[in-house]
Amino acid sequence: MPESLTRREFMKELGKLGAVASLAPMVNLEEQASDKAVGLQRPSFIKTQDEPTSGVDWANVNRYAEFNTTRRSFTKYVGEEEVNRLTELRAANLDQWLKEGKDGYTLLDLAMQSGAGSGGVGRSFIGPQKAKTPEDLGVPKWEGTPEEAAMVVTTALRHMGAATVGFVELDTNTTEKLIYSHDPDGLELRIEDAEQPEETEEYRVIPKKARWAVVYTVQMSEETMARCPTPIGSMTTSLTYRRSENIQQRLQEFLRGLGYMGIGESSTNALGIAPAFGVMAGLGELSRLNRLITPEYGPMVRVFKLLTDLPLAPTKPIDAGIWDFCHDCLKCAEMCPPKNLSFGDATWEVRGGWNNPGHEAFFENSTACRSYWYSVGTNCGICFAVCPFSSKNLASFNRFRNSVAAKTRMFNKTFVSLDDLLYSPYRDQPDQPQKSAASWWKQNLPDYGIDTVQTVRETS
Amino acid sequence: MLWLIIGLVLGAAVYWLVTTEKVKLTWYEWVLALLGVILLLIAIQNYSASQVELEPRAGGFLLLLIGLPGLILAAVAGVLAFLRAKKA
Repeated sequence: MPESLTRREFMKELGKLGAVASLAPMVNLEEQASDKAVGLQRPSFIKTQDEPTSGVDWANVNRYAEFNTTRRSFTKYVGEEEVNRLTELRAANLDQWLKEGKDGYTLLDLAMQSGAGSGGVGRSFIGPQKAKTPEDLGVPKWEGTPEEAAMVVTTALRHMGAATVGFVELDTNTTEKLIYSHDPDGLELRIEDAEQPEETEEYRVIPKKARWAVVYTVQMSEETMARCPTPIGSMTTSLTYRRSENIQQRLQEFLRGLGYMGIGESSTNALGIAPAFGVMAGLGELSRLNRLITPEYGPMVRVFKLLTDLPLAPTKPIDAGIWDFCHDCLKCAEMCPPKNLSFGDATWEVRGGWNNPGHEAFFENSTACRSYWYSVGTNCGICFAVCPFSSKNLASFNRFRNSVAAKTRMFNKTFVSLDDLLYSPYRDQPDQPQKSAASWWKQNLPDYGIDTVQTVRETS
Repeated sequence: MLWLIIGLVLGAAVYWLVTTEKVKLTWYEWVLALLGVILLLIAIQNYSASQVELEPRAGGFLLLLIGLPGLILAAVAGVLAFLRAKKA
């Protein structure tokens, strides 16, 4: 470069420098891609740690029977007479609201709810068992380090439709206790020294060698959830469950194709405690909802798990400030119409048989929640919809909030007030959806109503 | 495209401010203007992203909450420079 430059020469040299700087990352792109660390690439404010932010006393955790949740045992907790009353109330309300043309309960909305809840392939414990195994093909099974295995399973799952992926290694004294003692259908889940998983009319056998849990989330649409508690809101979960059925089957067949077992959920919410596995895999933290809240999507996910004998590098629990934020934020509890969520600090005292003791949580009154579901004729979802972390995070303000909340609790209440202003026009009318169902039909929505690059954007 | 246009406009404005003889900003006017422009850029990002997010209400409020202070800061810098230029 000459010692003195005219303005034109200076701009020319600057242009050359710019071109070099732009091309530099492309020079060894392939090498860079292979050097990428396995697992979620998250912002630095999300810290990994050995223990979850919510306390666990593993000595007092026992394997829980799923049929004790209000999902399966509502009648046991409230009595048959109350269930009958609520069933009649639900039928009467749905009938009245359909005929009145109530927002979110019109024929259009009910038809959409039915449509979105269709099309899944169902679930099974061992999968369809159709993929050709390495043995069928006359080759040895796929081998790799646990880190490589974690990488290929993550990539495969993302391509199959999962959002975030983590792994938990089962330990008899700790994480194995997150496997249900009984599945939703009442069948006992036995963990035994067996070569292959087995399913009879009374029990299911999980081979002891299936030591790794693949835990993954499937993203839900914020746009439909904002229409809770109407049928338009309700299809948020039903569509995601159907999508997740396909993902589970694909993963089972993928693992079979590699030469390994894929032990899945035999029905919705089977196999193990989803939020607990999500917490241990570092996909998120426990929350005032008593559900998982993730740094990427907030609570706007469903969480699923699958067991395998393919050794996988475990991912660690995280601290993204979510558990602390929930101590300062009461929004979900205040906006829950039956007031079933905890208003106090987290506790070790359970609220009923639907909770599993041995861990710290914001335990909820699950029967009040379920009763409200009957009265509105859907599975509600208001607490998910109004959570500040349910924001889509394209606007930089929300990413700024996430990073600040991860470091200090000082501004949490301010962030909640701002969230009220920005996203909750009906803050004082909890029964009222935050957005009208009629307006949903006029939206120009992305595929499945979700932004599938949200994780990529968050982490790049 | 939005950011390309904003970049071109800002670049032209800075070039004009640096080269023109009519207006000379003091150091504190540069600081005020810079802070104002940064806030305005953040406000525009939040507004446009909120539109993409299908959250126009949030976009409007964020534009107001972040953009208004930015506009005031930039305006203060401009008014100070204008008054000084008028006096001279």
